[in-house]
Amino acid sequence: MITLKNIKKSYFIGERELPILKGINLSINAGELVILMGVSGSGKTTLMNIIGLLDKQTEGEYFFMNRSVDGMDDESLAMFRNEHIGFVFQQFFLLPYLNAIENVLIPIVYSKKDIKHPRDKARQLLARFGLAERIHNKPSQLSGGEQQRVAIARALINDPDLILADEPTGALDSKTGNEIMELFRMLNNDGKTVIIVTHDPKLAQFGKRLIRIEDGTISEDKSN
Amino acid sequence: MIYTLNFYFRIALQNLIVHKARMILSLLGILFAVMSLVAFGNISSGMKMKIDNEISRFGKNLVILRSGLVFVTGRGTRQFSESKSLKLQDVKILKERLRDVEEVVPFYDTTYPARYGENTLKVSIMGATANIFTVRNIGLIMGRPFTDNDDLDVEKRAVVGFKVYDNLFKSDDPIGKNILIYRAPTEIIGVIEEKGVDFTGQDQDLQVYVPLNTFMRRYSNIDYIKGAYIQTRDGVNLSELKQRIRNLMRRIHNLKEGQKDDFSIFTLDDILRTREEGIRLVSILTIIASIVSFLIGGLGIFAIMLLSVSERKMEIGIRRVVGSKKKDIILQFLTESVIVALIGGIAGIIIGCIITLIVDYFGGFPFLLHGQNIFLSIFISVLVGLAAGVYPAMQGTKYEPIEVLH
Repeated sequence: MITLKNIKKSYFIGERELPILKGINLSINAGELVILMGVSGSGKTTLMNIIGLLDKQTEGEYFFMNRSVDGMDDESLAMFRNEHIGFVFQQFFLLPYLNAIENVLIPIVYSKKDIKHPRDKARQLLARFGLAERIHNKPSQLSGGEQQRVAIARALINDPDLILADEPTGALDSKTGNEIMELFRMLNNDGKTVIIVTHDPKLAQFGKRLIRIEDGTISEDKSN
Repeated sequence: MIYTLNFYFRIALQNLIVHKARMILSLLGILFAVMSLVAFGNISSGMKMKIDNEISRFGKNLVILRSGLVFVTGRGTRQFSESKSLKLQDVKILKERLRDVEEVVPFYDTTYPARYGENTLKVSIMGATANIFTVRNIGLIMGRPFTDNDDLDVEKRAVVGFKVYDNLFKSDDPIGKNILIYRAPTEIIGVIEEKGVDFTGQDQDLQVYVPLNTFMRRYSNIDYIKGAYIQTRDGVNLSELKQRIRNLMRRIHNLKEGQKDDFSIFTLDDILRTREEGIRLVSILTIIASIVSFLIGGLGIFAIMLLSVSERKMEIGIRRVVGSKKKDIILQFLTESVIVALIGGIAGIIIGCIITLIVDYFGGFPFLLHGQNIFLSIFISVLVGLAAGVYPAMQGTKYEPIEVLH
């Protein structure tokens, strides 16, 4: 599904080059459940941003579904994200003045895909995640776990090929966090490709494949 | 596209509801601007219609000739010098010699008590030729107007105003009854419909019309008249006609250069349109005030939108992540600023109309909506909303997801 060839990323502070990623070679196939693990400062977030097409590498090549995405401009990238990738964040990032179902529907506004009856689909997704009674609640009326479920429903509404989750349990207690991880596992069992970025070693057990990032390179890549 | 706009619209409304006080504050400028434009437009069209109504009620295309000179003193008061020099013959010459003149109604007017049985009433008596009923638009509810024959035969017949009938006769049938005018019994042959007070303050319902010849020979024994109504064809330039009448009158009266006129000429427009001059001055002030208010309103919306955009970095970030393009972000914030401006505009129209209702009620003007100002207000509101929203919306596109979401 995605292939990264010798991806390098540096930030420049004045004249000084600060290398973050030092040549990442990585291939992830459709249907995988990958845990991308690394401590803070290891470069895992930068790698996620590049995989999620939110940032561009300084060097190297990136293929998404066998298609080079390196030359795409802002507009095409936005459409590409909308079409292919569902994002989940640590802070949920729900819009506070919209209720659960309206939050789930946001990607539809920008979607070129022909999603039939998006409202019904959003309702089904929320119901499947145990939020049938909460669809008209504002984020402030939901618990952290519930908010993250709404965010996951939002990531799924547009039928993406890849789910990209950045510390999805970081703001949750461990019990709720485990429930969220079970949810990702369930989605993966349904055939979705899922990449979860985390610093938390306890999450390693939920993945089928563990990729460890250390100091801008892949230090471990193993499948269970 | 429809779904997208509808979505932006709902988001904008949700935001308005969340930030009520702030949004109301920011749309006040537009509200006041539209309110003053709409209220002023409505009220002035009501006033104009009232003036037009008064003119047409008094009689169309009229020039009024009066003996004696009305002049304005240094302190701005009106002075009137009496004159007995205007004769019936003068008016006949005017009618013969002047182009464009269709009817001339010589008249003599005065105030005198009229009596019927025990009741006396101070009335305005006007002796005039029979064509006054058509020239002055006088409609009757009973009986008939007097005719040229009544005038020629110096018949003591009168057509009376509604209050004269009402006060002297209560509900009795007045037709054929005699009232005493100048101690002469005068037969009532007609009653005029209720007309109210005209623009000069004269109560039209206290008028008594008698044939001019009857008045001059049977009541008063005079050889001069007080004035004449001169009616022209439609579309004649009244101020030019006034000048022609004046020139002719001076020749008839043999006035030498340097001598003052011994008559005055005016039109209803002269009297009533001075009010419109006032309206025009106020309208310029209103427009200036509106422009200033629109500018302030625009600045208010601009400031609030800037604040709103910077507060909603996270929202912009997440929208960008899930596929919003920069132009979608701009479109969204523009929708919001236009909606704020439109709400201000619509509230302004409503309040402006309420003010119109109040002013029209107390001023006795007919209620009219000035459509042009209303549409213009909406249009300018949208423009101001767009203009005020552009810069903040552009600012919104500068937030990159990876900067605002981590």
